[in-house]
Amino acid sequence: MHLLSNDDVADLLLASKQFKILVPLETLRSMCDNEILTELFENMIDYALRYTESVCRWQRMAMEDPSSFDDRATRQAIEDTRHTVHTAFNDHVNILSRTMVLLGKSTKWRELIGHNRPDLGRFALALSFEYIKQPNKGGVQ
Amino acid sequence: MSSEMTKRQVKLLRYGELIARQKRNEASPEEIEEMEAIRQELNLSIDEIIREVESVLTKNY
Repeated sequence: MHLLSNDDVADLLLASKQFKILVPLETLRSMCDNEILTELFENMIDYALRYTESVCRWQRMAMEDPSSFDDRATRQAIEDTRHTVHTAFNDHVNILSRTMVLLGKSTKWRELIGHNRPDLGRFALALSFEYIKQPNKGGVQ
Repeated sequence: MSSEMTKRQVKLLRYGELIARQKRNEASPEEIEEMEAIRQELNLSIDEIIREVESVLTKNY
C-alpha cells in the first residue's frame, strides 16, 4: 500500500484549489518577442483580468442578493456583460494565435487550451491568477 | 452554507474584483482602501487572500 507523504497531501490540496495551468504565463510571454506580439499578449491579459473581475462580480451578486437574480432584466444585464467580456477574451486569444502562425511561431499552446467557452474561461482565470500572484507587476497598460 | 461562510465568500469575491481592477490600473484610491480593509478584516496576508479568492472561484466555476 502506498501512503502519500504530508508534502504530497499538501500539494494535492493546493492543486485542488487552484486553476490548472496549461500554458504558463511567462512561457507565453517569452514567445511574444516583438512589438506586435507583445501588444497582443498584453491585450489578452487585460481581457483575462476583465473576465476575472466579471466572474467575481457575478458570483458575489448571486451570493449577496439572490433575490436580485429573480429579476430577469437584472440577471440578463449582468450576464450580458460577463458574456461580452468572455467573447472578447476568446477573440484576443485567437488573434494572438493567428498572428503567431503568420510569423511562423509555434502555437501548440493554443491546442492545449481547448476551443470551447468553458475551457477558454478557465484559461482566462488561470492566466489572471498567475499574473496577480506575480510580485512587483504593475497593471496592464 | 452558513451565513457567516457566505459573508466571507462575498468579501473574498469583492477582493477578487478589486485586485483584478488594480492589476489593470483601474482601481480608485477608495477601492484600494476597500481591498486593504477586507484583507485586514479577514486577517489574511496578500498571498493568503489571493489563494482563498482563487479557491472560491475554483469551487464554483
